Amino acid sequence: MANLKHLRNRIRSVNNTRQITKAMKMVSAAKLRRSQERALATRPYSQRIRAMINGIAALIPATGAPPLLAPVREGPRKIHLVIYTADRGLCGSFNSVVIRSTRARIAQLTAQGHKVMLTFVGRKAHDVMKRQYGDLVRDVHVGLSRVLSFDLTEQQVAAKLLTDFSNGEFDECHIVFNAFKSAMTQELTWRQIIPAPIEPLGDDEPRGSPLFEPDEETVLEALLPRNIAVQVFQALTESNAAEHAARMTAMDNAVRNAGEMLKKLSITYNRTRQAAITTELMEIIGGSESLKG
Amino acid sequence: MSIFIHLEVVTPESVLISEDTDLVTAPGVEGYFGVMAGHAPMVTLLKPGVMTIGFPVSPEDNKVKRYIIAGGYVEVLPEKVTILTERAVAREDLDRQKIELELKEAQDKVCAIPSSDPQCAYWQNRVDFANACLGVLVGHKV
Repeated sequence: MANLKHLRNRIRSVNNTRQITKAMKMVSAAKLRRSQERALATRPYSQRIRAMINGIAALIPATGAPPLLAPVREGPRKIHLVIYTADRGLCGSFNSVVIRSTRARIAQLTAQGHKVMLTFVGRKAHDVMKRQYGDLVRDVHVGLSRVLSFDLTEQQVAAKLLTDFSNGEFDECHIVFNAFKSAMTQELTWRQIIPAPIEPLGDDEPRGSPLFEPDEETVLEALLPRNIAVQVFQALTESNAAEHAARMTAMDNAVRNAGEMLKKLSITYNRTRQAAITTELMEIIGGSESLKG
Repeated sequence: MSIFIHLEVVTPESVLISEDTDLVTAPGVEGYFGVMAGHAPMVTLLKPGVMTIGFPVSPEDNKVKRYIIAGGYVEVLPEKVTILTERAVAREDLDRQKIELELKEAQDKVCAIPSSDPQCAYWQNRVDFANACLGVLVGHKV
């Protein structure tokens, strides 16, 4: 039987935990609102630029396409994965979903004979995976989601990807991140960014050749690197919003669990206290009875 | 057909402008151009410079809105113009001191970095942008 002092300490500690998780939930909720706006705000640019590239790509023969757009050759390739996770934990399955899926992807790609290299945006995945895949790690970027600046992301992540690509360090690049769906749901997303995937044109999209100034190739060559930067940045904002949403949900659950635990503990505490009082009374009564006797 | 054309100015961080207007002029790499409703489809690169929205009735017309944009891309369709740019600042929001500081910093960077570095183009763009801002502030007509 647990003694009273022990129970009191336990109740106090659970209560403290509850207060902390509650505070974290509030903080996440506040941050979520801001980062959700940022995530939604980056979507239009990213969609438009992809639509523009798509439109132009349809007009250019595949053989003359710049390397950032050209279809990759068959056979073993060097594939670069950019993995977005949070810098911090305590956000439910947010990080582990990404890590699990990345592990599976690495195993699959290596089995097919491809060479894999990894860039991490956000500390968590790197912390977990560096032991197993230490020799594949190319880069780790920490703290980008705190600033969420397009310029900074472009210079630190995108510029490096582009230099590496033009130096022939890799042939293909994929990003993986949690896309923000709603405050309750995140969606794990894989997206190929190099070479830029070309989707078939929809029916409502304009066809036919527009005027180009100066010409198709120059426009495309300017658009493609910019597209990489935008995709990299968009993934960062999405992942950031999703992180706060995930943390909010996780903390909400934690608060609820702590509340339940607190309830159970106080019942045990009160019972134990009652039992102790009853025993004491019995002893007193027993004592006085025996004196009378 | 409407005489208005729908203009959208989109930066990586937000949709800055979304409105109907009768005339847009923008700084194309091969010179300034104007777009009105019914324009032929066109895709163009932009250089840092001044974009105006609205039809100037007189040279001093202050209904015309001026924005300084830091280069980018424009897609023109008969009833829609989409401008993708990294940065656009309204003429009224310019702060001369800030711009001059920015210009100086960017110029120092351009001087310090070898021109082969991809960073150089980025800072050169900043210099051009700041110069365009100053040009507007000292009252060059566009």
